[in-house]
Amino acid sequence: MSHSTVKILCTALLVTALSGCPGGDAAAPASAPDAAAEPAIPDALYLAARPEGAAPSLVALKGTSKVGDSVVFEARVGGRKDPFVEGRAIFVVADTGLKSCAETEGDGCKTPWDYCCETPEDLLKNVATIRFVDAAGAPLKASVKDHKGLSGLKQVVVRGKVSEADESGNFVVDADGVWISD
Amino acid sequence: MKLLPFEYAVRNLGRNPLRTALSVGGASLVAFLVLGAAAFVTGMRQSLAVSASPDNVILLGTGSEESIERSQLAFRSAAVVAASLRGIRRRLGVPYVSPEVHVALSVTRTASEQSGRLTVIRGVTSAAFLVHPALEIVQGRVPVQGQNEVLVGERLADKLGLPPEDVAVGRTLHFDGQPWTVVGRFSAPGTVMNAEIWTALTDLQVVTQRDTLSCVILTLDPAQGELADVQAFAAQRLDLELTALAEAEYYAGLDAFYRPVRILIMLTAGLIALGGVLGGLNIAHAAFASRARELGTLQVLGYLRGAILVSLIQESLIGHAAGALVACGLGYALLDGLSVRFSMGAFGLVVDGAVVATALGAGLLLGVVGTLPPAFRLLSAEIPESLRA
Repeated sequence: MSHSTVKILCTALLVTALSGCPGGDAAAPASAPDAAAEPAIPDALYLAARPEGAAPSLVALKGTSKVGDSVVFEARVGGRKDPFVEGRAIFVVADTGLKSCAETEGDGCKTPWDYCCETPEDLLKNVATIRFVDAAGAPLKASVKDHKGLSGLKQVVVRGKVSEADESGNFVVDADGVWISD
Repeated sequence: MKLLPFEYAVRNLGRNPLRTALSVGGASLVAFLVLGAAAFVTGMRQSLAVSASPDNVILLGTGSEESIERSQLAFRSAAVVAASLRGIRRRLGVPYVSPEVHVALSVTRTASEQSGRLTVIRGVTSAAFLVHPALEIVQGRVPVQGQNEVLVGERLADKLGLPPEDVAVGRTLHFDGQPWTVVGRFSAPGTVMNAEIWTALTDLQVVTQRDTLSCVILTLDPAQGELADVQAFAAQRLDLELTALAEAEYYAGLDAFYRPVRILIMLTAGLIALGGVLGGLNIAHAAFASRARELGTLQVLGYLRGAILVSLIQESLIGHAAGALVACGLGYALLDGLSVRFSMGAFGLVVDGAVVATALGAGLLLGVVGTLPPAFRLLSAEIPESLRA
């Protein structure tokens, strides 16, 4: 066997074995939000001063408000493990009277804003969904998580109009201003 | 630098057939082991990746994001989602929304058997066939509601450790104290579904005495909807206690869960390969020691130490490449597609190009690493000393 024949054989074997490596990546979810295309949340929606006359109890407000009512109330961000929606200006708040896991001594909960110590029924009575919407009433396509300091258990005062309220306990407010405590 | 002829290295392999056979056998063993470990890791990862459809979203109960089996949703969730959420794919007006119950139950061939293997049983409606396009019924038909009938995946027999004829169409399986007739067989290649049992949603709810769902799986129309819309819906319908995840994200979480198992397997293969390297070092030491005079003579003839080293590495690489190729051939013939059971079901080992390349690389690396120390030791000796050896 000549020198070149042996070389060619060895090279061919290696090339054959190494060929056909998969180049494609696993399919990525088509629904990933395009961060670059997200509009910013208007600064005017974040209030510099605390609105006057904020109702202290979200539970009481839920019981008396109906769709279209203007409301101002105090609450804390939380009520779910992730109270924010990625890619949409929506977040969940809970009544300030609700005790978070962080306020329970000896509780090592890593996500105290989800109020997981409460029963689902009690939690539902105490929570509301807040949206920043566009002129058509659709939520703005931007995440508000960590925007202007908005994060889990942050105390806020929400001013807006009730857009959904039903007997099941759902309560959605389209906010025209939110004040965030320091 | 003048190199030794390539034929010199090739012919040297035939001078001591036993040594060459040992070297090829050792390389073959290590490469086969690495190939097996890589095929396991690739098979498991692919089965979890392929199980997800890119436009699918899973709605789970809040707080049960890591496990469908633990998740509980109100039965009405599927209907509410289908009626309220925009952007869901539809065919002839039928929304791609599949309410499902997933439970792991012990499955046996006969009622008298005390214990069987835990198998995922999925209660579905006809919408399941819309949202799981990878699934195809290859024999029989869909179970009829109220008849205790099941469809079984192609790999179910492997999962249960039974011969395929025991889960064939017409046979009976037992779970939850009841007999279930196999009326069809499906194929969902490369997915975890392939080792599952599917039955009518309401039948499974009756036997498990639950009125809730495990999850709702929906397919989005990419032109009209995106994951954020489903998550926004979940945040506004707090009464349903939903969490929306991309199906790919859910399976990526499972993939991460099984990472320690994969690391352990690769580590074990690595340790055994290390043993192979040490064994190869011993063989090479003994082989080179007996050739000290020959290597000294080559230096006298004018070949530099570097050229002799290259020739020794060539010699070793040819032997190890042959062993690795034998291992790859055997691995492809014996391991590719072989079923492996795990808690999610069963998956097939995958011997693809990357796996073959890994095994070949391991074999060749073994050849180089096993040659260098004894070669350096021998070539560092003075020429007269080598000639006197």
